[in-house]
Amino acid sequence: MQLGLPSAPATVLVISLLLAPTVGIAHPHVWVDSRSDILFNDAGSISGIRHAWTFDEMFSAYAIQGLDEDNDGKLSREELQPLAQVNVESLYEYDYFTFLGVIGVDEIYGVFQDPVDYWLDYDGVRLTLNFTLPLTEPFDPKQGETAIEVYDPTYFIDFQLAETDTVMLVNAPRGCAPQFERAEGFDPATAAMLAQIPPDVTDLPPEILGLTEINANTIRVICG
Amino acid sequence: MTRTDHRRLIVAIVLTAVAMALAPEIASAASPFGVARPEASVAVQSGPLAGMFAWIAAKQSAFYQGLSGLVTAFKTDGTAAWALIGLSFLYGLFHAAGPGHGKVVITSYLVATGETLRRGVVLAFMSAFAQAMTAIALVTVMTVLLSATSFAMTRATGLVEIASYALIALIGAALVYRKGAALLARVPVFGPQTAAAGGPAHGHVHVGQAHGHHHHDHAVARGHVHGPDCGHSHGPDPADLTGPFSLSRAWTAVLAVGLRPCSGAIIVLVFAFAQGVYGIGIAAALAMAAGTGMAVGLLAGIAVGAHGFAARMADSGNGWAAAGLQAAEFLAALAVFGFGLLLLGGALQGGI
Repeated sequence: MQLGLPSAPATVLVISLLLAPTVGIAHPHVWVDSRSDILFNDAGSISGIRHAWTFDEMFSAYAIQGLDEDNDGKLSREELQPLAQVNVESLYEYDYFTFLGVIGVDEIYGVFQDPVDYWLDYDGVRLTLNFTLPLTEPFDPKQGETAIEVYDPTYFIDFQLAETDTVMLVNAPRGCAPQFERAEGFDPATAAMLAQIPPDVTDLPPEILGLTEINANTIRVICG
Repeated sequence: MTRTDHRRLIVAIVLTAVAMALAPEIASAASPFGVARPEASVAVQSGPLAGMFAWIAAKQSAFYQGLSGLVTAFKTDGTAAWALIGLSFLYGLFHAAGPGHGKVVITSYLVATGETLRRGVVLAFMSAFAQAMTAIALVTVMTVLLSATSFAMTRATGLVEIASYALIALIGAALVYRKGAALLARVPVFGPQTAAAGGPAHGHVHVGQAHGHHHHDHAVARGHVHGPDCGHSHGPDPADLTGPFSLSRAWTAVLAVGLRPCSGAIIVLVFAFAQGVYGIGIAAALAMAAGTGMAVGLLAGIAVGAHGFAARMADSGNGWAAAGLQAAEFLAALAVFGFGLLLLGGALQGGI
């Protein structure tokens, strides 16, 4: 809230600092390197997205505890499957942190079904969650400036686009190509800008929030 | 401070109460990957200090990421321990400096109860260390002794969290009852004798020291009321001032806040155990608590100072100020109660 405090005594400033509606930025506890394959059907529309999300070392260690049932020091895909299941089921509430739509057009966005083909890999240091998100309706990338965003608005998870094999178009029509922009992170200027967004923005569909969000990783699908 | 300043304080408190009433619901605490619980938070940021909090969040995030590398380094290089402990301390410090429910609750509690500066700082450190001990106990039992899965660990954390929030709500309810009675006593109809007005009831108020739990839940922070000016402390019971620290009362608050372990500390502990260096994980968790205790102790000092100011106003014979102080203490009590309920509701909604 804007109290217009500059002229008020320091006490007031400090107290209002404590009282002010605060940044909702939780600090991240999980870091993810994200790789995405954009899947196309034969008609040239996007039919789904296949993610491979690699977790940071600490979260990986936390997540796998107690799962090595045969105590052989290795984690098989079978041993990890219950965790993979919990992972994808829990992601539902967060819209899989994946938003597909046309930039600047709030009404056009893709709706994902429950994930399929999900499993976890553990390389001894990091876990990678693989899963495919089918779309309920194929999404024609030519209907506008199509973009996919991967991010966590609550910032519990810090998503980064991976350095290698970041985005791949699978079965895409000739002339389609991906482009991507990395999230810039919450620098103070960005945060201040975000602060101008009225609070009721939270009530908007996440798809819209996603496309207006500054701290998002944006993958554009350009079909010329 | 001038009288105008005083009025501004009152305005700030009232606006804060309004903001609190309008605050969006706290996001449910369900975990995105089903393991590890995020802190309650709201998704949209606002307020003139958004930039500062963003900076704090970024620092904290950087420190946290540095921890894993240092734990790994410690396996081969013992001197990494000092860097790890130093970084953990900074992480705790910045963690507590961000907005958070714990700080809100503690600060409000201190304003309502009128603890002294020294006691406030002690409370800040005790609750921070209680939090670290909860994390260490959880990981030692669940991970080290039982080889529990992360699902079980997450459920256990959730249960402890709910207990913590319920306790906060209970403490708040008790404070509301006491402060409400004191306020009513001011009204001639209710007051047995006008003398009550001075309000022994609220104890002396030195404003709050927030103790620290580090709240990780940022978000909530929006409105709490700990009003600076609440306190009136005039005339507290002498026994209160000189008597022994009310340990039983303080312990409840310490427990309420300290029960809720920090996800960051838990993850670092589990990671250290997985790396075969659990001891250094414990050292890191304690260093985080020291940092958190320091940050919240500072806030506590500020709150105590503001409260003391208001109390002097009240003492100067300004009946209006005395009433305001009492009202503010009541608001602070309401804040503790309200946040307890909000957090509890959010945690229950998020499931265990």
